[in-house]
Amino acid sequence: MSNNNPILKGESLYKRFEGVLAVNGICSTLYEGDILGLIGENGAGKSTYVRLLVGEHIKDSGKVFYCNREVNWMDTYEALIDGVGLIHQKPTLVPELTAAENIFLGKEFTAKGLVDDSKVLKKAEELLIKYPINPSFDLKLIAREMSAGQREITEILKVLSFNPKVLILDEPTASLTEDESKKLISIIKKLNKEDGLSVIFISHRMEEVFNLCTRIEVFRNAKSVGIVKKEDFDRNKIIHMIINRDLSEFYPEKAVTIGKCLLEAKGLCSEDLKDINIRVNAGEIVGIYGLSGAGMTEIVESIFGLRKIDKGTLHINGQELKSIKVSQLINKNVFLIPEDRDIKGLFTKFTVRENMTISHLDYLLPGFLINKWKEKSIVKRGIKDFGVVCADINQEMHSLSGGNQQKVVIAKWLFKDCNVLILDDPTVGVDIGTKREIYLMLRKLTNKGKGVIMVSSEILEIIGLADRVYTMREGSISSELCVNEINQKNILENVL
Amino acid sequence: MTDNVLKAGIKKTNIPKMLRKWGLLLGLILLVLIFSLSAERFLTVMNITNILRQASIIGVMALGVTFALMVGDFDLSFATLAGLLNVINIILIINGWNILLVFVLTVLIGVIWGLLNSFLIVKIGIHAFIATLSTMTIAKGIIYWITRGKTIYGQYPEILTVIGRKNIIFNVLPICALIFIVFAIVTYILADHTKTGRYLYSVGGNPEAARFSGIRVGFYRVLGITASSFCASIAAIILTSKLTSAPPNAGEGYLMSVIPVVFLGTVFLKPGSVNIAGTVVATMLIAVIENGLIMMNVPFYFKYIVHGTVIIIAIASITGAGRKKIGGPPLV
Repeated sequence: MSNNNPILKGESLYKRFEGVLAVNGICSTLYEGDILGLIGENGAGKSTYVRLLVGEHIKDSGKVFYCNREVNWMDTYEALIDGVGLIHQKPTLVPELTAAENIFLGKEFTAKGLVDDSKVLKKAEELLIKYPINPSFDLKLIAREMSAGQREITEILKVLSFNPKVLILDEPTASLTEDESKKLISIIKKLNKEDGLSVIFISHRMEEVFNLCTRIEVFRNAKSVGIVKKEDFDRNKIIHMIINRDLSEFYPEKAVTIGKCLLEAKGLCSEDLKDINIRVNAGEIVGIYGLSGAGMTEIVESIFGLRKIDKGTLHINGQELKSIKVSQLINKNVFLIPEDRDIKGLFTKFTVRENMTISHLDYLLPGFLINKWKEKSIVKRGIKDFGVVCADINQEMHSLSGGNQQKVVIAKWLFKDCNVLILDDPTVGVDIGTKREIYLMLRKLTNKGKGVIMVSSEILEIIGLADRVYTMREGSISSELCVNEINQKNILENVL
Repeated sequence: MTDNVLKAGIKKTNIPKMLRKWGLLLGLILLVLIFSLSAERFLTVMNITNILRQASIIGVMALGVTFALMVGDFDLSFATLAGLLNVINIILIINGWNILLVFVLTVLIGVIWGLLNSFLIVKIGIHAFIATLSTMTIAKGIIYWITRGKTIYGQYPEILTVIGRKNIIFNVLPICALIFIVFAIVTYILADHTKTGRYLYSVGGNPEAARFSGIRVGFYRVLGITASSFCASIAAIILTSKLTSAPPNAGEGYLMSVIPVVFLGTVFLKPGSVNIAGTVVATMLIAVIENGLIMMNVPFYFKYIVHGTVIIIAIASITGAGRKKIGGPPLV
């Protein structure tokens, strides 16, 4: 199996996005025939690091060595031709083409100058037989109509069709079913054993990494903080490395007293949701967890009046809401902090000042004209209360780090007294320090008798923070776990 | 730590950045100086009055289009709409209608036109470019239908020419320029100092985030799109008063002078985003170039070449070409 010849090596790699260091001088080596696991929180720099290796992002500085010679790939295709394939977490496929056509995009088989469709399909079928992740996968499916898992399978087959020597997988199992994940892992193991394939494997699922990898490298805050060998694999030790403290001290204490019901959704049905019943009581943080695409975002956005619902009612403080509209909910002091802050939460070209006041302009600054002096003092207060680090309140939003951006997104809602705060995966791309500040802030809110609903893709976060958890599977609630039932085993059993 | 580094980097006064921000105004001042020195008739009261008068129609139209772009949409129909309104105005006036009544009607039709554009864009969901291209073509068809392709003229009361040709304040300030100035001030306050303006910008900046913030995205898009037609109707009033006749192509020529002005304005103050101050400065810059070249006896076709070049240079200065560094030492 593994020997001591380095095959792919990054040396002092740096990458900065909009002033934020995403990769801060990482040195890491993959040996021939080795399976290296990269582990760390969202935003720790894992994805950016592997993208620097294959040239998908251009490094600010540092060197990449492949088979002991320095390489400067300018895009992933050059790396793939040389034998290093990257499988993305969210693959980009050509939406109009079928799976088979996407797999052989750029190297179509031709007959008399025309594309030979039947041969493309035949070759794709051969690939699927060779790598049977899901033997019943439909290769004629159009990419636009694929689920996240089907896209992933297409991308995996595409990269494997190049017979790479090094395979880099960026959270490949996040969108696959349990069965597909198991098959993928056994295929990787087989390729590693028989063909000497070297692998870098990124995953949040620790069991998977333990099972597959021979070494684990932990990333934290854009740096590599240590390597653990197979014989030393230990859950608690690795969690400690990931968050730089023990799980119990990283999260605030759980709720002490739980009060009356603040918000309740009864029988919500829509295109993506099946009979959703959830509630949040005063003083508690309710977690919602499921695999990506299971409907968590759909629930919170439906509650906030942003998606069409076919059936169901919403009750706030025991009263039924006549129409579920954003403005109605804001009036009732129910606020949503959406996922994907660049798209849904922020005006990146606006200044910090303009972003902070936009949701409550009428409340903060009554009157037709905006009193800029008053606005300034309000924003300055917000910056101080939430610890936003920025040079100037008129700084444009995109020049702030992810953590500070998220603080602004949260601050902009909390200028008005809130009743229920709903957060959709708020810690994505946020550094550990800020994560902890967000957790403490949420607990402070619930201690004041408010309710919090939090969707998260980070299972550790749900376990550490929530007082009650709803798990989701394919658009419906699969279980409700109370505080003493919340653990990894119970959660995973109900989402897979 | 990284945030402190960031802080230090931004606190330094950034001269190239300041230059980019204020360059357009600087260019305008420089041009005025150059033309004053090289053409003796340039810096005379009469000529300045002339420049202001020329700038006013383009300026008022450009302010309207700025709003359509502000909400992330577009308007191609405003110029031909102004031409159509001019035809209607002249026909009604030579038929003896009360001028005031005619002008009220003009504004009314302008607003209805804007609502029609909004309906197609916001409700039906046709891309603004295509929707207004179609309504523009329809307007053109109506113009030629009514006029049979001939210029319409006839007897009109002398008072009609007050807006387009008369000056006030020591006979220096044309009334139409006053309208432009008033519009510039009002729209500036509306866009940059009111909640309505903030919402308009937010809808254009990120409609999704605006929706998540509880802003009525559809309403503000309608407002922005309709503002464009409303301003075109005001410009049509100036046009009628200036021409006192209705050539079928009186309006459409403004499309190609107004759109560049608005884009040129994105260089000023808020680089990369349309804004009222930028539109005003750009209007004046283009008017000065046009007039100055005539004063220097440069053949008329050069003005088009200069126009195009100025816009390319200005926009290129904010796209950031050549500013991206590949490689180099880390900025730690």
